[in-house]
Amino acid sequence: MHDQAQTEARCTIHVDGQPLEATPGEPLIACLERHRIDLPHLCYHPQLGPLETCDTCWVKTGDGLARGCTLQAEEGLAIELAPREADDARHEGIDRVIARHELYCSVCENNNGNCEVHNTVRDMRVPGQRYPYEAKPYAKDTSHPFYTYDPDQCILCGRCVEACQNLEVNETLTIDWERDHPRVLWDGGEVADQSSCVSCGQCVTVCPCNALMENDMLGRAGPLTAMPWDIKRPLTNAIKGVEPTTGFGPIFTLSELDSTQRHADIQRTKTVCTYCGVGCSFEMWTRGREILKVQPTEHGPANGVKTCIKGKFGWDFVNSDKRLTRPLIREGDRFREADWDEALDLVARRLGEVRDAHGPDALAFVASSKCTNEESYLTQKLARAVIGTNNVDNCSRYCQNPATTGLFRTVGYGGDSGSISDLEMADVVLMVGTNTAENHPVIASSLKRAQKHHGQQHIVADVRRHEMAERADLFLQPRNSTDLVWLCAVTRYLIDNGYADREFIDAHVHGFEEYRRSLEPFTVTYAAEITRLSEASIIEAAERIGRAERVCGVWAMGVTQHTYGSDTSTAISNLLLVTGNYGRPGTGGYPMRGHNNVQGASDFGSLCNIFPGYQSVEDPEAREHWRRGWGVDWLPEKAGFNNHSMINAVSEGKLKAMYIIGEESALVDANANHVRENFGRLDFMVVQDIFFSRTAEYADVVLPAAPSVEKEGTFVNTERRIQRLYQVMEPLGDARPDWAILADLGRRLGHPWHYAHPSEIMDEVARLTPLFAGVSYERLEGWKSLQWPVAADGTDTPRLYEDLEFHFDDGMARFHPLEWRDSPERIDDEYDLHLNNGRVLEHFHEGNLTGAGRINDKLSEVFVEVSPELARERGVETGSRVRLASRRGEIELNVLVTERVTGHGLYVPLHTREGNVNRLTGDHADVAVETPAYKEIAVKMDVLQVDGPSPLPRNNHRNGQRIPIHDIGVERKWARSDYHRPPQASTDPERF
Amino acid sequence: MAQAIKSDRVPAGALGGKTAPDAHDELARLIDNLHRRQIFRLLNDALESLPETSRLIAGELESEGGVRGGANLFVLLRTLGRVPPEDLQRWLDAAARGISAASREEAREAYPAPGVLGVKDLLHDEALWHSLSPLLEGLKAFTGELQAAADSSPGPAEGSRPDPEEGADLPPRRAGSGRDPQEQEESPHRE
Repeated sequence: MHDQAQTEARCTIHVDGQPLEATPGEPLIACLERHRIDLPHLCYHPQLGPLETCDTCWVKTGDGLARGCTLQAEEGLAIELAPREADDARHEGIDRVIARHELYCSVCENNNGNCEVHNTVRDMRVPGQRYPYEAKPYAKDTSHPFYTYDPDQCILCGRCVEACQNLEVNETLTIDWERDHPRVLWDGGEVADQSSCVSCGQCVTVCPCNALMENDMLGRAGPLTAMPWDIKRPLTNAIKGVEPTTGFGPIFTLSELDSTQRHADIQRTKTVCTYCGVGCSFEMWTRGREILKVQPTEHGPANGVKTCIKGKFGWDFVNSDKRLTRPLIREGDRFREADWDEALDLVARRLGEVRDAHGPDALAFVASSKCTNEESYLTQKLARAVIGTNNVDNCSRYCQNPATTGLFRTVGYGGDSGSISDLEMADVVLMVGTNTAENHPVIASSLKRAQKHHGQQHIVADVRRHEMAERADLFLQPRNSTDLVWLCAVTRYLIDNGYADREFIDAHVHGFEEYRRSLEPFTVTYAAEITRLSEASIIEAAERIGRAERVCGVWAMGVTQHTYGSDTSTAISNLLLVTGNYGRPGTGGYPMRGHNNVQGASDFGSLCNIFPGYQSVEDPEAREHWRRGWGVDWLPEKAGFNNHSMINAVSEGKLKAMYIIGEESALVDANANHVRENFGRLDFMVVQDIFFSRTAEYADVVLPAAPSVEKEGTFVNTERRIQRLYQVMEPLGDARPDWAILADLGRRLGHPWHYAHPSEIMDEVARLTPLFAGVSYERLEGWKSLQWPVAADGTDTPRLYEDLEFHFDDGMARFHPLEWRDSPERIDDEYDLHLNNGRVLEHFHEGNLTGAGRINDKLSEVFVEVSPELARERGVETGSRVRLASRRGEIELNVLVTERVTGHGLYVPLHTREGNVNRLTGDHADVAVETPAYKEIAVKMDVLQVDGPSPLPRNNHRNGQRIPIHDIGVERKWARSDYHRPPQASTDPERF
Repeated sequence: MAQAIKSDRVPAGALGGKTAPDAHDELARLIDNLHRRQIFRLLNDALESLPETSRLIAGELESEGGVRGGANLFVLLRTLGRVPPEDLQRWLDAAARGISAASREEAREAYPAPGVLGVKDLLHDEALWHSLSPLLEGLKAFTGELQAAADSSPGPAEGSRPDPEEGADLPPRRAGSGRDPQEQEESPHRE
């Protein structure tokens, strides 16, 4: 309601005497742009706010000249753009800008129609160079693998610094305003590659010129940019020789011609990131198959201009020479190439034979969370409607199902309660078992910004001291697998001390008394004893939560990948219900979805027990609905095997054939040795992937699929947001989009799957699934998105439970009583260390995508993190070689000694085939949904060699030293004796 | 039991593919563009009619007017190479402003005859003579050059040869050199 009231408010401002309608608080620049009134500006960016550095937006107010970027609409605001002094001041500003920035547009990589310096100079009709341009006494910084900084072109607008400090909040960039020639610095003076820069690329994205450029653009953006600088320089000098006579006019005409030509050559296609669940969308700039840059815009509903290293720079895999481009058929001890007809005929025939011989439940399908919703839908439809089995699952089994279970038990919908904007609005964010800064970096940046600038408090609970823990207002480091205990103790404390929202509970939640009784064992003292947290820290967490108006709970694999992960997820949701933190802005439960479409893969039915839209396969009514919808005679009645139980079913001889799509099961399923052994037992196995994966080694047929940029479709992000991705380029070689492969196979198996485009699949889903009733490609066009549930009229749901109607028949939420049980994976005298594991920022999961490119320059080797105290105890140091052995297997790794882990806790990243941690994980799994307990591993460590090189490259950001500042410090610029406020002429325009 | 087959037993042809346009792709694109933009049609039409159009062009070039035009074009280009671009710009700006002034409605109204006293007043009009002085200076240089050329050269083909270095050295860039001089004068803040 608050949002609605705000959008309805209006006021009138006057510009040069003309009344304009505006929204109170609306930035003046945005208001003028809406009314098509041009006020020049360069440093202002809608997502960064006023920086006040460029001095090109001066307007006259009743109090004299003011920078327009600092003004916001309010009733009675009157400004003038026309007076001579305002115009002179603006021209003085732009003259200073081009004294710092050499305009050589036609040979510049940024001359693509969106160069803001070029466009501002052109739009202001600047006739020519007033102050001479002068080069700076600094070399170009070419050290970084992904971008280049050119001080000679930098206008010191401060956007990059603001983005780094206050949007990404990585706090690497600063400007030294006191130098003779001020400049942007990395870690106060390092070269970019050796700094704390996390390569998020946001500085490059917001740079208004070519001072910061993606390396992939260099020399490739335009026909003239490929010239080497020893040709560009004399040509530029020649043009500059003529320019004082001709002015900018004719030269700008030439550069505009060049820019127009580039538009014909460079395609810009909106797509959605294929890595984590944040759902960043952006334009991908390509020339043919060459990816020139990823350019997010402020229109991205989940990310705006933000990205992380993977979304911005992690696309080398698309053109990798390891991509599968022809179908393969096993022949003896090798594979041979085949054409699609032969391969798909073989698949159809063999699937049919296995079904006829052993029944439909002898086959199983694994859908991919990397694939689109439409592809997930076809996978489960192939399993259910064509083969006749519910043996279909996706990798949410490995990660998200316990979180979803916690929400199913308590509030009803298995999705995040609200949007990223809700997380930003919260007073307290409780983060449990989530390494958000590395696994969901763009959401982490929103949280870090809210903490840095809006007083948001962060309570972080994790066995590992990661970045969010370092930044936390309160960091809890409990013993592994004991989160449920302290969460229940906090909840009991809240109830006992009057912090429970009794009005909310009485009106909207069932089962309070029973739940309250279940909390009786969870005293603070008991929790401190079990978790090894101090009583004071547990009480402090409870007090911070209890006093807060709005609390969000955020959790991830550090909660779910445990034997009792579903229960711990439930405990978080119970806590939020006790404090009334559902249904309001800035509240709710937010399990962080790990893959780009792990939410959608489940939403669209690739789970062993549900149809699309979470209708149970065991519900006769739902089954009849889908049977009629798909036009088949029958559908299987019982839930099928899940990803994890499929392997045991192979072992028991129940499963004879598997069809695995885009899932590296041989590496990512727990107890990998056991998994591979059982793949070898199958009668028939199909792997559909973009790479010849470790899983593909066991296949009988390997089908080359297309990654996200080679097809159309939709993804659902962690906010339940459905977004459309457009095809950026044609599939490589003979590869095909997964939906096209599945549709072809469906036809070969006798079903009329004549889908010509994924939109037709989505239309079918919308027709049959109430949750997606109003979803259509038209409503998802461009940057538009919809958050489910989506009503038939297209109304979506950015925030669940706003009307306090929970997703149960009676609209009431439920408390779910819990008890604590310890992990079955015991630490004992032999296996005396606890091994934790997970992703790192640079790589995605097992590394099949990110391992195929330049990200390896930043981090390639996998390692084991060892605490300083354990290192002393065992006589190891960074670079030592050790063997880790669990009760299942062993791996060898190099040591990295770090305070991120403590005591006898270890941590191993996932991103490599060598040292694969799943050789150590076991079959123990969440008792409710069988998610492997990846985070519960007892190991022993043997030292193989003490001396060795560090596994962490010197140029990794973890070696950098951040320099946090509150803002870019423009006052320091103004305080310089050689700064003269426009319209006064500058004495040293080339300096700043 | 199926054994794992390692990637080294996968035929190389099944992996990777062409990821960047080669010369053939660029040529195909060029051909496609030339066709879609009707450039091929234009060129084909021109080539098919080449004998006729060649005859026409040759005839025109051979005519007295054609020869003179070609020679004059050459002289013009050679002479322009001697004129500093700033001077040419100033003259052309002045000419443009003069043409604009002459085209205005008031300029078309007939001036009343000044009479003897009027002429006398004009002869004492300091401002008028001040404004005419550059024109007179230019006129003197112009007639002087005409005389010198007539004295030293029998004909246009061997006319005064420009100094190859002349006009090559442009004045150094200065603050304000690119802006409208009038605007600069009126804008003391920027000086």
